[in-house]
Amino acid sequence: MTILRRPSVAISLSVLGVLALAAILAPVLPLADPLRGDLMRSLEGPSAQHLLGTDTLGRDVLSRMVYATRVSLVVAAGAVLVALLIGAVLGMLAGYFGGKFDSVISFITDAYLAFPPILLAIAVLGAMGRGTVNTVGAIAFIFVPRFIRVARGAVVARRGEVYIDAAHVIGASTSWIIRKHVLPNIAAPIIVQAALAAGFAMLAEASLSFLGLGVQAPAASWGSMLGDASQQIYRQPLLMIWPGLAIAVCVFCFNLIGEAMRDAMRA
Amino acid sequence: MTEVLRVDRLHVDARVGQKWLPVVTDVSFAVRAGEIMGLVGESGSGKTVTCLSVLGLLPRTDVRVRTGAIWFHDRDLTAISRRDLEDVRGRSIALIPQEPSASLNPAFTVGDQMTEILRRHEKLGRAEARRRAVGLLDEVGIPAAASRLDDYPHHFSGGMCQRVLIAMALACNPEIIIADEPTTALDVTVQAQILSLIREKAAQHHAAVLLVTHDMGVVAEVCDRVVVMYAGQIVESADIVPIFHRPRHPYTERLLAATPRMVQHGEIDPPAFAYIPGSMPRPGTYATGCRFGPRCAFHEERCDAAQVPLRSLPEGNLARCVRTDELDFAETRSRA
Amino acid sequence: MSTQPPVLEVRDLSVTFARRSLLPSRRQVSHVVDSIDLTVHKGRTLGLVGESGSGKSTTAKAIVRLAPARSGSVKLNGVDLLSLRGEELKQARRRVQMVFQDPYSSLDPTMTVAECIAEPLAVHRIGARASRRDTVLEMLEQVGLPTSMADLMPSQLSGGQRQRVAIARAICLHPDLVLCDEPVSALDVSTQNRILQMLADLRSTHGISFVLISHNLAAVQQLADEVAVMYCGTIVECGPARNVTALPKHPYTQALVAAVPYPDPEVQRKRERVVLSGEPANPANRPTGCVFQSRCPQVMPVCQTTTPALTDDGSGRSVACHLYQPIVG
Repeated sequence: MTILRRPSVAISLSVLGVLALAAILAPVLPLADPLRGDLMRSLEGPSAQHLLGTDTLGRDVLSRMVYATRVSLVVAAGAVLVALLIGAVLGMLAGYFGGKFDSVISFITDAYLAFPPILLAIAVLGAMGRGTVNTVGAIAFIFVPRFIRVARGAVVARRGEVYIDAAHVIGASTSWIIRKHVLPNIAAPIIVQAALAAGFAMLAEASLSFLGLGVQAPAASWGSMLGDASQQIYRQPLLMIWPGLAIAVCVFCFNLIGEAMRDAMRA
Repeated sequence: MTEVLRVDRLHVDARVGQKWLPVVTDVSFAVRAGEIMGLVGESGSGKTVTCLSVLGLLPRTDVRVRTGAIWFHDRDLTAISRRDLEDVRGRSIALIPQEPSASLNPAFTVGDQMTEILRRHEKLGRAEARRRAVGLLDEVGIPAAASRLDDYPHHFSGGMCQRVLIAMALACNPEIIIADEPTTALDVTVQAQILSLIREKAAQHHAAVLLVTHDMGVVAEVCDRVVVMYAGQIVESADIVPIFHRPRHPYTERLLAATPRMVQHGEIDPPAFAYIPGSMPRPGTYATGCRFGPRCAFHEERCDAAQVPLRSLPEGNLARCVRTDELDFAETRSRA
Repeated sequence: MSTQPPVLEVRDLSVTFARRSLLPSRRQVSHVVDSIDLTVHKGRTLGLVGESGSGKSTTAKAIVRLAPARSGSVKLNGVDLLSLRGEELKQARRRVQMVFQDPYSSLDPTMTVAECIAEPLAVHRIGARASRRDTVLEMLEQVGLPTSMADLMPSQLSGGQRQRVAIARAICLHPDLVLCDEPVSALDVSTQNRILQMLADLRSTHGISFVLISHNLAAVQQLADEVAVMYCGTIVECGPARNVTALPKHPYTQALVAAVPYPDPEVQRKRERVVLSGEPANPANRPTGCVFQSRCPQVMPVCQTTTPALTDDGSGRSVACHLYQPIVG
């Protein structure tokens, strides 16, 4: 894997790895209880006891940041995974079989892509109600058409390949051909799309939670923390820095990885 | 006869991973005015890289001319500026490419693509360029040329596309035409038409032709002289008749024997399946002595001793073989 | 030999492509293959020759059911492939295999050489994994490749090596018939004959029958027992290979023979040649009468009105040309 040798990819992967590890190990790390507040000590700056300070309710920001990482990463990953599964399957079938099914799927996809994604997600959350699970659904919903497009395009490009004909000649069934010849050959562009989508999903989750539509208190994601902090921007501006920084770094890392994979695929 | 093009001690390297490996080693030859010179070799022989170097079309990041010169009259094409090179390439050196259908831009009409060249290099006006384009299409045998000018490339068959590309190559009356496997993608029946067209038009326009091919049948049909390349080197160079009647390098001889041909009258059996065992070495894996040695039926220990020089033979041709004077190919032919 | 049914018996096979359009005037049906007959006996090789667009590749695709036949029958050992469905078709496919022209695109780039060769075995659930590996190694040996290549990817092989992998894959089910569509035209001259020699060896060791498709008569004459020449979807001449190539009768076959350059400049430049002018006829725009009339150097008035029938001259050779038709009335 030469792509791992690129410094940008190596650094991005390490950053995301550390964050994921922190998220997984949060309960065993020596952190304060993220839900216990001390109103006497609200909106404090960084100190030895609270490395990143405290929030409005006097809760430890560092601890909340670490627990929020869990939510943010899980929501982004979950949304991308759901979208990938639905989108890749639909796109692959549309591309492989063509015909009316393809026309219908492509038409819906195109119509769908005409809407601004965040608005679409807001509409979905408006219909289904707030909450973490629904946020995953809403973000997945806006990514489905992208995966349909990528998968369909990749399959259409492969459908005419001689090795597909060659597989028919030996008597392979359609499901065999899709599993053995189509999937492995379209996996690369789909994975690239997934990496790029992960960054955007994180951003979408942050936006939704910032608006109060996504993850609901007392649970916290970086987006909802950012939203809360924005209320106190004059009293404790530092509070906005931490989640903002985390979101920016994460999105940046995902994008770097996605771009690098796309370059590697083209070469 | 005057030389139009002289490739002088050309060395070209290509990047493989992190390393630069030689793909063309010490290649020298000249193309004289009015002749058709065949540059023959199989994939991996370095013939395409050589011809791209002449055109200045090497992908610079991966392939580079290490040393040597390419003289077009008195200008070294490896040393002149990009702008000058582009001017020479469009006007005085023309290309007939390998994949006719892929070499025309599908988004523009044939007429657009032809007049663009005429307007740029010949500084013609729109109407005059169109008139010339019709004349050129007519000249290369495209029926109803005036009405086809506004057709898109996909309306033309492979053979017709190749005629269009020949017309484009002739557009600025070039001094030398480089034809890179011009008939490989075409049917044999169309190949015969295209080859005779190239020969006829080159003579009419007083252009020399450097014909790159792997097919000795094509060479027999149109060339005046031949340079045979193997593994980045010239292994033999001679006039057309001697090289077919008395090849002086074992590789040339095997290449001739392998060329498909029809049974002739009086022959009882079709020609045997002659082939060369092994495969063309990749750059970086060339033998230290004779590069063809590992696949050669006449291989001896002394072939590996040192790099084999390209020797001048009394007949005026060149061969890169230490045993060239003692070889008797009739023997291998009967054995094969 | 005649007591056994032929390995392949194609009768009256037609393939059409329809151009669909909302405008009725733009709809058209092209007869890409127009009621052709072909017969291949056990252990024999049929050369199918013609220019691009002649329908030769489509014929092969129709035989292996990659292209839908409009009518006719394709009997393999007496069983009509065109009437089979599902499991029966899958079983029948074991008996007929195909080698494609371009070895750079006919092997899946994500599979190793061993996976490519073993795929037919896996599809038909033949043997356990370990025994498949043995078969792969045996096949590699048969096509003259080192067994160490089993775990390489196709991209690491040369064109000739890939084509040998494709052939190993085609023969690993021990088929009765292998269709080879231009198997050597993408390869270097010095390796072409090696592949042809290998096909000849496989024919004698396994008794496999071949259909060898090419635009170049020279490429099939060494191996073929019979030759069929196609033009614009029809067979214009067929018969024993030696006869057809040495003394072609149909003007198109004569042109095909003449088009192959002879590798000797002195001979080549003195040959009297029928150089075809013009382009192959378009199957969408088939003329009335003989399909070859627009390019035929010996065209007669009758050629523009009547389609010549493929007629046997009594020696096993058939020609579809008015020059050789018995004069009627």
